[in-house]
Amino acid sequence: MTAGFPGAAGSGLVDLIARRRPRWLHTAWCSATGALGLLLALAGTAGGQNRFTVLEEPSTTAVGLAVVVATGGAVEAESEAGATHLAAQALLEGIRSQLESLGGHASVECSRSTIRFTLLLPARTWRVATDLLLDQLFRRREVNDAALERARARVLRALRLDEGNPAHEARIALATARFGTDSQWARAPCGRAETVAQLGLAEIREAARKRFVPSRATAAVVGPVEAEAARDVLRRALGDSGPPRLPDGPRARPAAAPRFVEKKTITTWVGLAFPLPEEPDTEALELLACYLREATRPSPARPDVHAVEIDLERDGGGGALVVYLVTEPDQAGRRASELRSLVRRLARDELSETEFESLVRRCRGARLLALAAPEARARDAALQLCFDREYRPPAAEIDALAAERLRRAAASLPEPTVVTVGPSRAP
Amino acid sequence: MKYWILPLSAAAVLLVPGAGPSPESLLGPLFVEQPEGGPLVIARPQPESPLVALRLSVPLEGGRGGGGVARVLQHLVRERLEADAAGQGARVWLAATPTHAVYGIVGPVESFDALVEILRRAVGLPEVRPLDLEIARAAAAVEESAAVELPEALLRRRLRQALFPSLPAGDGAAVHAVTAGLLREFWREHYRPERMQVVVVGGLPAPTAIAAFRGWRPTMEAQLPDGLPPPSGAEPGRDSRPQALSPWAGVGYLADGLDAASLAISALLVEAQLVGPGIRKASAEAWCHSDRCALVVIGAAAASGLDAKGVARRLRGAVSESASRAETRSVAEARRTLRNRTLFAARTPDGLATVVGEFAERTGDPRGAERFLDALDQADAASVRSVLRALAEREPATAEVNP
Repeated sequence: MTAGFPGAAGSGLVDLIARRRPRWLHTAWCSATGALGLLLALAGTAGGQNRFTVLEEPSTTAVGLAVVVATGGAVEAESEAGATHLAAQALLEGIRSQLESLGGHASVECSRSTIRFTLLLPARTWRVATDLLLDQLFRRREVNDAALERARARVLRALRLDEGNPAHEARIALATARFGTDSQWARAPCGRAETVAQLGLAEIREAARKRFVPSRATAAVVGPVEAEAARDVLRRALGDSGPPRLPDGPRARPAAAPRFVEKKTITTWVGLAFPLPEEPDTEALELLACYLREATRPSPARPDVHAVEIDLERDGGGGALVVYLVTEPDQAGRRASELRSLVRRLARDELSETEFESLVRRCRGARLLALAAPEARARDAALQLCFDREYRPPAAEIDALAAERLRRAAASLPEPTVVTVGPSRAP
Repeated sequence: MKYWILPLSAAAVLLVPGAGPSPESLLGPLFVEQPEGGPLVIARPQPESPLVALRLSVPLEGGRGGGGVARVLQHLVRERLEADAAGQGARVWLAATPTHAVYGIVGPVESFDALVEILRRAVGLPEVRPLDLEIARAAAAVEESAAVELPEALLRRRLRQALFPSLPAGDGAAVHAVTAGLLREFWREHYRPERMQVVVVGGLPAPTAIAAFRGWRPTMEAQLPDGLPPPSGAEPGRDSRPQALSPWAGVGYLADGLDAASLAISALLVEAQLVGPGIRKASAEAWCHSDRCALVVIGAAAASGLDAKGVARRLRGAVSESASRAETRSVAEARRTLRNRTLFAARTPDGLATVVGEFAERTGDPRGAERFLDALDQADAASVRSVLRALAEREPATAEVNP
C-alpha cells in the first residue's frame, strides 16, 4: 500500500521535509485496523510533503516564503512568448499594495521552466500575507487592466535593458545551439519586448488560469512560524495530490562543433553548457561549480578574464551546468578549452583528501552564505521539491560529500555545447 | 554614555535604557559578558543556523582623524583578511566612522575557532613594508575624497560638523599625515581588547562564544618600518569640488530633550512629506552622538526650478507641515515600517550582529536594539506631534551645495 510513494520506505522522508515528526506516524504503522487510514494519511501527507515544506526557525527575525510554479517560456507558443511571466507579474501587482501594507516585500523571477515568487514577511503578519498570495495565485487569479499595465511597464523596462546586452545575447546563442532555432527552449526565458507589449488582458487572464495551478506548484516557508500552522496554510492552497507536474524537458542535441556569433564588442563571451544526467547529484555538482569558479575567476594570474558565472540550470529533463565567461577575444578559445580540461581532469583523477577537504571547507561556506537569508532558504527548498521531489538541508548534504562523488559528478557530464559571442574569431 | 551617528536607514536612534526586553522580541535573547582579559561579548545564539557572524568594534573616541587612521589600518590588513576568510568559506566586511572601526566576519559555524583567530589577526598591528603603507594611505585618501566630492556626502559632513562639533570635521588631514609612528601610537591607544565589543550571532551556544574571547588579544605588535616616505600630493579632499548636477541642501534640527523613538518616527513622516514636484531625492534621518540627537533632512532639486535655498525652504517646510499630518494611522504605519526594517536587516547572522552592535555602540547598552523596538511600540501620534512641533520652532543648521 505504500508502493508508488516516493521515499515511503521509512520515516526518513518525514524528517527530511519537516523538522517536526508527526506523532501519528508510529501509531498508524502499528495499527492493522488503521491500514486504510494510513494509506489515506500517507497519500495526503506524503504527497503534500512532496510539494511543500516548513523550516521552523524560532531565532530568525523574519519569514521567507517561496512558491515555485513549474511553468514558463518552455510551454508557450511563439505568439505568446512572455505571457506566463507577465501573468505572474500581473497577479502580484494585483495584491502588491496589500502585501506592502502587511510589511511584505515580494519579487518574481522567471526561467524557461519555472516562475518563482519570493516573499519576505514580518513574523506578525506572515500568515495573512501568505494566505493572500496563495489565494491570488491559485484560487482567485484576478488580473485587471491597471495591474496588467503596471506589470507590463515593469517587465518591458527589464526586457529593454536586455536587448542589445551581449550577456543576454550570449545566453540566447547558447540556448539556440543546445536546442535548435525552432525550439521554445531556445527563446528568451521571460519573452521579448515586442511580444510582451502586445499581449492583451484576455490572453494574460487565460495564461493565469491555465498555468498557475496547485498541481504545478511547490512551496516553502522558513522562519519564526509554528510548523503545523504553516503546513495548514500551504496544504489548503496546494493540496496533497502528489509531486508537482513538470513541463516536459527539452530535447537537447548532442554537442556539435563550437559556434561563433559575431558581435561588435570589445570583449568576448564564452558560453558552455554541460548537460546534466536525468537524476543529477545536485550537491556534488554544486561543489563542482564552486571548484570551477575558483579555478577560472578573475585574478592577477588571469588578467584577461573579466567575469565568470557558473550555475546549475534545472528543468524537467535534468538541466545543465552552464558557464559564462567574459574574456579577451584572443583568449576565448583557450579559456573554453581550459574549462573542458578542468572537468575532464576531475572526472579522471579524484582530488586528494587534503585538496578535497580544503575545497569543501571553502565551498561549503560560500553555499551556506548564499542561503543566509530566510527567503533564500525558502527558494532553495521549493526548488528542490520541484526538481528533486524532496527537500534535503544543504548543510547535511555537503557534509556527506566525498571526493569520489565529486569525481563521479564530473564524469557524468558529457561534452558541452560551446558558443562564443564576440568581435572576431578567436585563434 | 557615548553614541555615534547612524542614519535612520538602520533605525539608529537613542533609547532611554531601563525597560526590559519584550517577550515578543525577535532580536534576543542576548547574553552579555566581558570575559577576563577580553572584549565585551554580546552573544545571540541561533541554534538552527549553520553560520556564525562576529562583529568587532573598536571605539575611536578622542584624537584627531580617528576614522581616517583606522581606515589606513584596515586597508593594511584587508587583502590578507579576505584571503584568510575565503579559506574558511567566510566573508568579511570592514567599516570606519569617526567613532568606531568595525571588523566583521561571517562563515560556517564549524569554522568558529578559525574565525576568532582571523579576527584577532585583523585587529593586530600588521607587519608591513613602506610600500604597503603608502598604498593603504592612498586607498584611505581616495575614500576621503569621495566624502567631499559627492554632494550628499559633503552635506552630511557639514551638518555633522554643525550639529556635533566635538566630532572631527574630516579625516583628510589625518590620512595625509599618517606615519609609522602615528599608526603605532594610535593602535596602542585604541586597539586594546578591554575597550572593544564583539557581537557573536549564530549556531553555537552563548557560553562557547563568550569563552572563545577569554584572554583574547590582538596579535603582538609587529615592527613597522621607519622612514615612511612623506605624503605626496595634496591633502585628500582639500581642493576637491563637489560633483553636483543639481542644487542640494540639508537642514539639521537638534533634538535635545525629545523622545528618541518618536524622533525616529518623525523622520519617516517628514520623508513622506517630501515626495512631490520640485524635489528629486530626499531623505530624513535621526542622528545621535554623545547624548545628543538631531533630525537631519537632505534633498536635491528636480530638473527645473529650485535653487539650493529653495530646497532648504522646502525641507524646513516639510518638518513644519508634518506635525499636522502625524495622526494615528500614519504614525502606526511609520512604526510598523521602522520595526520591519530593523527585523529585516537582522534576518541574517551578520545583519543581526550589525543591528545589535550598532545599537549597543550608540546607546552604551548591549540590549539597545531590543529596547528600541520596545520604545517604538510605546510611541504614539501625540508624542510624535509633540516632537515635530518642538523641532519646527527651532532654528536648524543649514548646508547647501550648488552645481
